[in-house]
Amino acid sequence: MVNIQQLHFGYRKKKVFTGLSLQLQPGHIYGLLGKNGTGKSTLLRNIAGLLFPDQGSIDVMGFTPGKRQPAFLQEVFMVPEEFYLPNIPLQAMVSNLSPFYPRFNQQQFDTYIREFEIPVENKLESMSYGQKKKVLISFGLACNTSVLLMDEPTNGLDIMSKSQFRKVMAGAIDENKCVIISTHQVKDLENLIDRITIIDEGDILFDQTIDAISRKLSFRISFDQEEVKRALYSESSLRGNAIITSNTDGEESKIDLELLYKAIVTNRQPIHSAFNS
Amino acid sequence: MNQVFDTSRFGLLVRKHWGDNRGKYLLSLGAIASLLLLWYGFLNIIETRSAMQEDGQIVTYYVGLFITGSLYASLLFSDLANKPKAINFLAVPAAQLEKVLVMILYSVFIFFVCYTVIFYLVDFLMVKLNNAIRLASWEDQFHEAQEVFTPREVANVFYRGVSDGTGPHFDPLAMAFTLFFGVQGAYALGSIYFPAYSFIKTTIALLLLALLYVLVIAKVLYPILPQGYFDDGLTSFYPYGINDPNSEKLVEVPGWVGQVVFGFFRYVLAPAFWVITYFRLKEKEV
Repeated sequence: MVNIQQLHFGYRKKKVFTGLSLQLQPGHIYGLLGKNGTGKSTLLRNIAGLLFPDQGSIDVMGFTPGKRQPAFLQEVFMVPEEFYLPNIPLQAMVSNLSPFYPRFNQQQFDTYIREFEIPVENKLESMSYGQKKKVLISFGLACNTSVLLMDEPTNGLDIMSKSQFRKVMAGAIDENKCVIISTHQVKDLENLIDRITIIDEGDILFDQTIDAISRKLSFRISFDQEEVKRALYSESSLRGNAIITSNTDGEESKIDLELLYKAIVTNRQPIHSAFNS
Repeated sequence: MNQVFDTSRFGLLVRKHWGDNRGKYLLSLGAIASLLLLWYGFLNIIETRSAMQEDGQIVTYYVGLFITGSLYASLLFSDLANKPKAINFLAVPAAQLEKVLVMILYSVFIFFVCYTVIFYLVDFLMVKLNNAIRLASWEDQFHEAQEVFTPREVANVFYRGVSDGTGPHFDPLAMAFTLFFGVQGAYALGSIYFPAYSFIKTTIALLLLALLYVLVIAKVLYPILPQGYFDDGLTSFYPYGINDPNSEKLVEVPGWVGQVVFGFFRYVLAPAFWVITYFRLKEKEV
């Protein structure tokens, strides 16, 4: 669905990608993790056709995003980190924009708006940042585009809204959609994404499905110093030592995304060796 | 589905643009009406007798048209300077051509029609008001004994033929009118080229072009020609001492050259700016 080959991209002074390749399939929610400024948003904007690769190619459902053809644009919806909504009533915004998306579903939109507890009678300008963001997320989901790109969607959302977001997202995915969520707040994506891609300095450090991670790695709290020493990654906490080990007994543990992310960013070699064994 | 232009998609885009900007546009038109009222009110207060003459109305129309039209055009693509707004604009599933055409529709046609309607509404009111004020004070004003009161007329801002005795042959308003669309196209292009302070930067760019034009004439043309002066544009040059237009001219380029230059300003300049704008929009990255 999204095929990126040898992507080279840079801003005037800074190279962001030097040969990045990535394939994304429908039916998944991809979590694009990475520190601030590592190229997550740049990658999303390249996929959305808002930036053009210097070299290499991006293919989204047979389209070249940079051409920004209408048939491509109606298959891709982006929820940017910094977004703009016109100062008009919510329903006016929906009736102005939704006809451009052939699979837009008003009923679905109303359901999401209810779940997010958005006051529909309000003008968009009188809504808070978080409410506006939830409107955009609801709209993006209701458009039913094949590709949904979300850049830091949980930024600005309160605790309740983050939980609503996870609930709404979990119910919105189907086998025809590919959702790519970029974030540095890894906790927000727990139990939501089914594939994790970690990028840093324009390189893919880690790219695995949640199933593979569950099969190969074990996450737990340990008080055994020997076990901590043998762990692929460990971190002391008030509760003891949070560790990642190879999953040798086949029992699946709850994935601690934040711990995994730190393990990959600080020293990815032991984790990779667990997957290659 | 046509990926370059589709009428139903274009219709949706026209509707969306109006829906998103309705409030802003109505306020702007109100502001234009208020400014015209203020200006005419000011003229009527300081000099009622000479206010609202036809020439004054025409000058007011064109000065207002150029200023507001250029300002409006310089804001056309200002959204592209703002990242969130630029994403919102570029991500709408419509072709780039349709997006530029919507801008042309609103800035060239709808703006022009709305401005003209507002101008004539205000102008008509103020001409009537001026006539009423002047008539009321006619007896107190100095005038010849047999002089009768002549009411002012609403001016025709689109046609003012200059006669050489055989009938109107040249209409300076047609040139001003033509030039307006070129200038407006330049400001629209400037709004893409210059993300910040577009109006000021485009004005400076146009002034520099005008300066270049003057420099070419002063430093390139004049040194290679004998002492003399241009007449009737740049197509006829009269050396000093020959003032008779019927006499043999020393330098005269063929008439078609003048027509081509005039035709360029009239028919090519504005569309050329819009074509460049289209390609700039296609290249735009956020």
